[in-house]
Amino acid sequence: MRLGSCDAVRADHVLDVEGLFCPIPIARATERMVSVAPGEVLEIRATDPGVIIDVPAWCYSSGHEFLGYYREDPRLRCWVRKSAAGAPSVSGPRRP
Amino acid sequence: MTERAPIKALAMLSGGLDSSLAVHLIKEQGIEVEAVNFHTGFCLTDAHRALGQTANRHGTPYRNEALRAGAHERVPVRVVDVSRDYLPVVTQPRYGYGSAMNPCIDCRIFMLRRARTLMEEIGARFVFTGEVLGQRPMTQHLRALQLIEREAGLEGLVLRPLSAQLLPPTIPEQEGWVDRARLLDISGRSRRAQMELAERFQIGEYPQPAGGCCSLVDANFARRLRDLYAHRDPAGVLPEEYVMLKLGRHLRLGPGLKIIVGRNEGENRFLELWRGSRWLLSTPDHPGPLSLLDGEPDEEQLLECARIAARYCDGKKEGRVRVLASRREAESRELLVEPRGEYELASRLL
Repeated sequence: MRLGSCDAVRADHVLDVEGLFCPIPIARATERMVSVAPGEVLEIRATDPGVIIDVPAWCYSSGHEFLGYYREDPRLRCWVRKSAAGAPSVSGPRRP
Repeated sequence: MTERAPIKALAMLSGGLDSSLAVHLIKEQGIEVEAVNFHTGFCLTDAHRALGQTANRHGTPYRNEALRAGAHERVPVRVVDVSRDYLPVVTQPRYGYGSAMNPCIDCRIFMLRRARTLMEEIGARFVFTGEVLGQRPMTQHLRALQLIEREAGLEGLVLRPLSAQLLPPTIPEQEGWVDRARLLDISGRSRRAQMELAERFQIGEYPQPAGGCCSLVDANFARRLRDLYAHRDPAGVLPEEYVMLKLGRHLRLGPGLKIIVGRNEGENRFLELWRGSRWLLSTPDHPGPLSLLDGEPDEEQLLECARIAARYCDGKKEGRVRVLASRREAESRELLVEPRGEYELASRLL
């Protein structure tokens, strides 16, 4: 599979949620993040196209960094870097 | 001078307008907020998404609203899958059902119990919700609210910021963790006050229309669910089967057999994708839906299913229609049948 500009993303952890529907991928990702060290990258493999809407929102709300996604129907992958602080950030400005 | 640790609270966040406003009101008081969103397996949006639909007729995209609201308010959201533990709430609710198969009181108790555990885990002092007094008949009147929080072991620790001034003071208010004067006195089913607040707080993207997102309040869904539970062990029902209850036409042919007929391309695609080892029927000579057989048909039942599939294709007025039945690899049958008449199907429709 060609990954284009995402070739550079090296995942430390892989979460396979293919075939699962919203919001299970996010629930599983939340659980998995517990064992991911700050700064490490989690790769999420999914088939629910809504994942590319929900994962960025999840990252934004919990302080993780959304690194991007790659889609080749019906599969998609996206990458998330765990926030350096290790804990979700709750302060900071509101989204404009 | 020692710095006081910030007060933390846990929000029960659906992502609808009311819970979003509640989060905003509590955050505004300098309280650290974390949110939880429970996945029960009966959320409507999930089904739309599973069917590949992207937005409703109001243009609101089918997204996880709790995550959207969390991102907007900069509040971390935990999405927790409670679907397995939730089943007994649906099958044996202590306090009964609402208008359909919605066990609203038991559901609130269940969720608040889970919230209490999480509250203790994260060091939050109280839980708050977007509930509005008098908005929903079954759960949102004073006695129900009190019963629910007592049963959940959270007496005095559930704050409803939108209606707080109409309710007895809670512990967070008595202790001065939150300022009661800055909470609201909204009640009833009108959403005017909430919409004005949304404008003031610049919450522009809340889901439209309101009215909950629970499939269990839907009479059609409830009828099919009751039928399913009457013929199957609820614990063995898979997530995709709940999605199937929301799509197509369902006709029961016997205790162990049901036929599901797609109504559009999205539904057909879903049936094909999740057919597993079931029979799938199509009509190669006429445009028409796919039909999935849920259960093991005997010869006579397979023929009857083919007649039903033929009834819903464009060749329904023909004397004979060719129906292909296939399952797994290389197991297929070709049947030539007379389409069933509409009135003959009425008694089988779920």
